[in-house]
Amino acid sequence: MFRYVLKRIVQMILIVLAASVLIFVMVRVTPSDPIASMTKGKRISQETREALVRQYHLDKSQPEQYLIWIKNAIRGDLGDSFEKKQPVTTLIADRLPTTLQIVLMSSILALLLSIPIGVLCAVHMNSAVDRILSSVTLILVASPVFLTGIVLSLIFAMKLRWFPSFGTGKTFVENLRYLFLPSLALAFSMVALIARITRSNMIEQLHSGYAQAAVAKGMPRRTVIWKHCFKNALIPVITVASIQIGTMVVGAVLVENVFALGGIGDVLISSIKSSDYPVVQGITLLLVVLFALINLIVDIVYAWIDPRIRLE
Amino acid sequence: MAEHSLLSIKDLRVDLMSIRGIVYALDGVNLELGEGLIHGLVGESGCGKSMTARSILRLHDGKRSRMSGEILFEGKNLLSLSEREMQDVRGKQISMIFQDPMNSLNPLYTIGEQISETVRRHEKCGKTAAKARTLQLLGKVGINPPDRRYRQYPFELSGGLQQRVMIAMASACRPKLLIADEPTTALDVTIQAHVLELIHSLSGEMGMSVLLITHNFGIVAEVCDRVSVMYAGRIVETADTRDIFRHPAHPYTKALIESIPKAGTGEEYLPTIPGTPPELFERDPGCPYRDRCPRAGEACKVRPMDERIVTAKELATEQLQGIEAGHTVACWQAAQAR
Amino acid sequence: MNKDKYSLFGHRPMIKTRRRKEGRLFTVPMVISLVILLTVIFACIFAPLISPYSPTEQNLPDSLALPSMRHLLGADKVGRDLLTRLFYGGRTTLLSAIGVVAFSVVVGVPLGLAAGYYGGIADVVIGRVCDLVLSFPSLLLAFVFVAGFGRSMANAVIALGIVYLPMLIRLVRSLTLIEKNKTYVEAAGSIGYSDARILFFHILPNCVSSIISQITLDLAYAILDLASLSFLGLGVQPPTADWGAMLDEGRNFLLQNPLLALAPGIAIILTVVALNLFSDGLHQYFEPLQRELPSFDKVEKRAGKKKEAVYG
Repeated sequence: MFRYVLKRIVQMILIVLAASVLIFVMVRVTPSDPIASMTKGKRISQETREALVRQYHLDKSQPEQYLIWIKNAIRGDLGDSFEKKQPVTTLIADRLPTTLQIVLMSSILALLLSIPIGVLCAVHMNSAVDRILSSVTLILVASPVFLTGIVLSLIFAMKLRWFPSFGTGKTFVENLRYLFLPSLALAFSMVALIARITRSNMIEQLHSGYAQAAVAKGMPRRTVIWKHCFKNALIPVITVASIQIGTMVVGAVLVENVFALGGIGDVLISSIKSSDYPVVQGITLLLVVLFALINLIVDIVYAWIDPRIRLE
Repeated sequence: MAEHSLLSIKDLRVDLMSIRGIVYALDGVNLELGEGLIHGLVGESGCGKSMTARSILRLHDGKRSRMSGEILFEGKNLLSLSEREMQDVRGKQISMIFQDPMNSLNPLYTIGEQISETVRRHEKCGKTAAKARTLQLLGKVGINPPDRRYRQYPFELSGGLQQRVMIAMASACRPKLLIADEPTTALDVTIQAHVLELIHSLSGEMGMSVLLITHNFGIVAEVCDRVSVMYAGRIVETADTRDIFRHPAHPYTKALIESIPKAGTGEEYLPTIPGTPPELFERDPGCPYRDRCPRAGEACKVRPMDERIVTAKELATEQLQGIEAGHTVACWQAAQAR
Repeated sequence: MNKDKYSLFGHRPMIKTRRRKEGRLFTVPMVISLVILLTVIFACIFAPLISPYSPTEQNLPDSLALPSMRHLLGADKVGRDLLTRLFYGGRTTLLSAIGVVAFSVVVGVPLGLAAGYYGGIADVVIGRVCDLVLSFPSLLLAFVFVAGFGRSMANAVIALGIVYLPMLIRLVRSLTLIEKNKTYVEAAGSIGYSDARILFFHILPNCVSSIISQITLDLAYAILDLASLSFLGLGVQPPTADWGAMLDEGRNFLLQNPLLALAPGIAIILTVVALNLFSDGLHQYFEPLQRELPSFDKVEKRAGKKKEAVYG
């Protein structure tokens, strides 16, 4: 078990390092003039220009620049923004809590909605319940996150005025209200997929040999479904759910945009548009690390559920 | 039959809905199981052996199957019980082991938990009592040392041990009937004998009847008291084991017995049965074996066949001499030959 | 020929007729989805013939016109007919989505086949590259790609194609692994067919049903993801618009004419729902366990009618 976790951690570090190279290469692939994006096209003196080049290590070769970047990143310094002249970490630190709270709230909402739906549909396969729930979730998944967000905000914020239509509160508790609609919109887009995977895996498990054996030894239907089948069906569901939680990080970008929440998503998109590379690199790396951590936790949960992984 | 019968199946029909249409999987099965006996059910794959077994415990998918007839267990009809009443029968009075032990055990729970779960369910006892009982059972089926094995997961055991776990689980509540559906097919040949012996000894010890499903006449010869031969969803012949080898009455039984390889006979070719069993998409009004039967005649084509009991009185005459009471055969030609 | 074969054994053939399969491919949801898809495709292809307006020409007097006979769905801020723009936007959306899937199929299927069939180093390398791509949560890699290579629809298509690669590669790989060990592959190898021939003419056709149902689903996701990119301004660039970009424009006029945002949204939902239904229909048809079968009564009634017809 310990070795398994250790192996996962080493793998995680390697993959994050590889990803950091990829980020760096992709962001810098097209030659452009960073100084121009810093000065927004204003004319500057030669001295200022050279000072900026030195400050951002632009006189060094690309591999050297990468090494400087990644070394500092490990120490917790992601460099300075070209445009805002602020450390990237400061930019992120202000906005990260909002984004994380959206992801957290929508993950919980999505799981609470989708797993019972999936099991219910599997147990009553091809019945009216199955059909209705499947159709509803299908429409929810087909609606782009931002559209769901717009519609929810139109109904519940603008018309009914139950929730604020944009902005954030100051505390976590206040934000439960501010971030509810964005999180719901985001959760809706995940519900269908997780419910669908739960359903098809549950159907498979309900037809499995051990389910039949459990019925044959007189286990009540509820025990067969929840104790035996559900636990087995959960393994692939967790895989999909973990990928989905990663997707939510990106989905958060979209709802932040719709509800003007000012999370890190907003910063990411605006810095892509203004070619503010240090910010793009920094936020991307941070999200990749977060995603890798989620996956690490999922791997540990696997081992906890499945003795075949734990004991090998 | 002399013995009091424990289980009596009467005119059992099971239809299945498949993607190719309705399959008339069991078409009037009649079967009597004596108390304390090991009863073999033989036939080639797809003939309905497992279907019969699963029908007894009502394990079919309700939406894709329908059943009619009667399955009397100690006088009550299992087909008319509610699902809840059925749950009390399963595992407590009738239990079952399957062909593939690996797939029959839940990979995520220890074998101890899976056995004691059954005990707790039926004996209404606490965790400690159930654990004690489980350890005792593990020792009884030869899984040693019980306390270490109790904490192991199915994937840590060999196929033979897994099947022993299944047997321990199935006999946990001292059922009256154990249905063993090809219990040795998935196992190594060397282990098969041990598992069969275990079933045999448990049956004797606990006075438990066994319905042993197999396609292997050799196994029947070894452990069964009585045997029924199935073909295309019907039982074609039932007799005591000794009789069926000595005097097979149905042409299909004969052909099956002839095609058992015998050592040292010097024969170059093993006799085979030409053709394949019919597909069961329609109710066949005639004998299902007639297309492959060397003795088939007009009678077999038109008339539906019923189980015909060749009573001791009838046996006194002509060719079928020596066949003892309780030998039934479903064949016009065999009946005529008498 | 057939007759001889049976007379050899002296018994009649057991299978007389090819039986119809229960549970049809063209179920109700399947037909609905086909009708929607064909309508959408038709409207997009023949947009210039159906619509009297230009999608780009501005007509300020009609600015924000409400639905009328002149503009069936109204007009946008600069007076362009919404319905016309919907048709042309659909062209962009559908073509780009097809581009995404085509890219991932052309690259992914051979890689998946190779990884599954050859195993060894090829498998490891392909697997690691997939891991690398998957270490980015969903669209994030596409964001970085667009940040580096510039904002355009072509780049968005390639970026999404890359994001979709790993899933397809893994699917094809796992299918190949299953097929590879089957007797027919061994047989084909033993008579000296080349690897390429075995892979593309023997193994691939046996995987096609799963692949098709997967890429139909990918097409649906591509539509959603492209819309997200365009909504954030990272996809299509003005004056061209796809449904995502139209939604982005329209949301500023939610209170004046909600259709400006809702119409492209509904177009996306309908198309994505139709594609999902189509994929589900295929999947259920190929997966008999989940296929819905008719009731006994229904089958027997049908059989009864047939018999009556014969006798009467």
